[in-house]
Amino acid sequence: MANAIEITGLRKEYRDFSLKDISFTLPLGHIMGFVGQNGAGKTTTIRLILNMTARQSGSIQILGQDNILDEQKIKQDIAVVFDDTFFAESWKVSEVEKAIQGFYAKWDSALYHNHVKEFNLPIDKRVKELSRGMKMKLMLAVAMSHEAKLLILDEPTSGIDPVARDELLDILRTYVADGQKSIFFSTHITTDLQKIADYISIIHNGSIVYTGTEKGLSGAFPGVSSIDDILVSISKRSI
Amino acid sequence: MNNILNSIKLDYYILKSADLRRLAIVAFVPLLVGGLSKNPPLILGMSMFIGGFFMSTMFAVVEKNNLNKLYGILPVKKQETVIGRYLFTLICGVAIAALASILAFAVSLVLQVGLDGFTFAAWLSGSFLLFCLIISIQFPLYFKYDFSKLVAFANLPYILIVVAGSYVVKKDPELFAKTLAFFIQNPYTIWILGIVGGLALLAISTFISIALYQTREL
Repeated sequence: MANAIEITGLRKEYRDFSLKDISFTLPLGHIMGFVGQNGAGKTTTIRLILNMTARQSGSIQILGQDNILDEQKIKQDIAVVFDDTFFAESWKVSEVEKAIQGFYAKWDSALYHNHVKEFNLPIDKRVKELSRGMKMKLMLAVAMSHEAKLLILDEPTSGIDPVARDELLDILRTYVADGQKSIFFSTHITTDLQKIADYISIIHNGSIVYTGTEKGLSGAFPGVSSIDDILVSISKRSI
Repeated sequence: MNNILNSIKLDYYILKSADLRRLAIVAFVPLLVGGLSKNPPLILGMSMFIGGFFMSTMFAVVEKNNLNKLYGILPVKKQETVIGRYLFTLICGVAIAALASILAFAVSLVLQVGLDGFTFAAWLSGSFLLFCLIISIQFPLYFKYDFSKLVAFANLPYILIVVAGSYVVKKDPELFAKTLAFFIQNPYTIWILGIVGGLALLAISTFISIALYQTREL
């Protein structure tokens, strides 16, 4: 098993939008930034990876297994952070654990409480009383408490302040430090990526326009210095 | 099996996070109506009726809190989620029935209104059947569609059932009287109809919900 994610020829059609032949690979032990403007297809791709929506064609291998045939096994080994919380607003931080820990065979309660402490989350506060940054940290605490080998983040930094964003990036760096875990990180805030990503995939209007190493970007887009500039030039070209 | 138990536990926390002031209505209104009307078994019927509708609150909580995303990331099959929710609802239904039975007997003692075995059995099994009917119609709809989109139409099937029932009773009152007489002569059939019929409805509804939920995008 050499890849955390391997997507080939993925297609999904909606009435007003479609993903066209999406293909990319994230090797194990690395961080991939998945970049694109709002509405480019980032969240749809993540929903397809998680089998939350049905694809038209293509294949998705997660940690060497098919994402549909082996869905339950895969979901034991992956963790997800969305841009908004997916816990009941009136749950306390302690109740979040009680509600979901049973689903994970490798749930580590001590680790969860360590993360809660490390992230300064008040254990008796309700989800609705947490700030946006704290909600994101709560999702991370859950995500990092069952020995997940792949962490998927969908726009985790949108709407949180720069300090909280830097904290998140530090947490992610620590998470992959052992070389056994991988992170797939979708964002439209590209400054975050240049700090931590080993690989970049750029999606525009449902198509992948670049996938490869972060360092290889300058070769693929000569004369363009940042990911932001690349996105702007792609947008101008398509207009 | 383990994931079904986990789903039941998750549903407990989902229901717990609902506005529990509404749950107080389940306990208080039937008690008030049963007491004032001096008809204690009415406590059973009303509790199960209100309780049946209250259970769909879980779907409202799921929608309001983006919990479909949670279901999308948890290592649980859709059919386990569905079975877990029906079992949890059944447990709640039995608990409501037990509590309402105790209240009905207590009120009958306080008001010194006799409550014979046949009447109690008829109300208990009839109420259970009603509870199961409400769940069996509502749950498949809520597993398929968003709660907020459906809530205005969700009561339509019951209105149709009441209208159709009233029509049958009015058109052929003799048939209704004969049916009633049959149950009085064969009281055990009330249990069969209420308990077995209710469970059968829930089982059929579970299969329908699984089929509908499989195709739903989370």
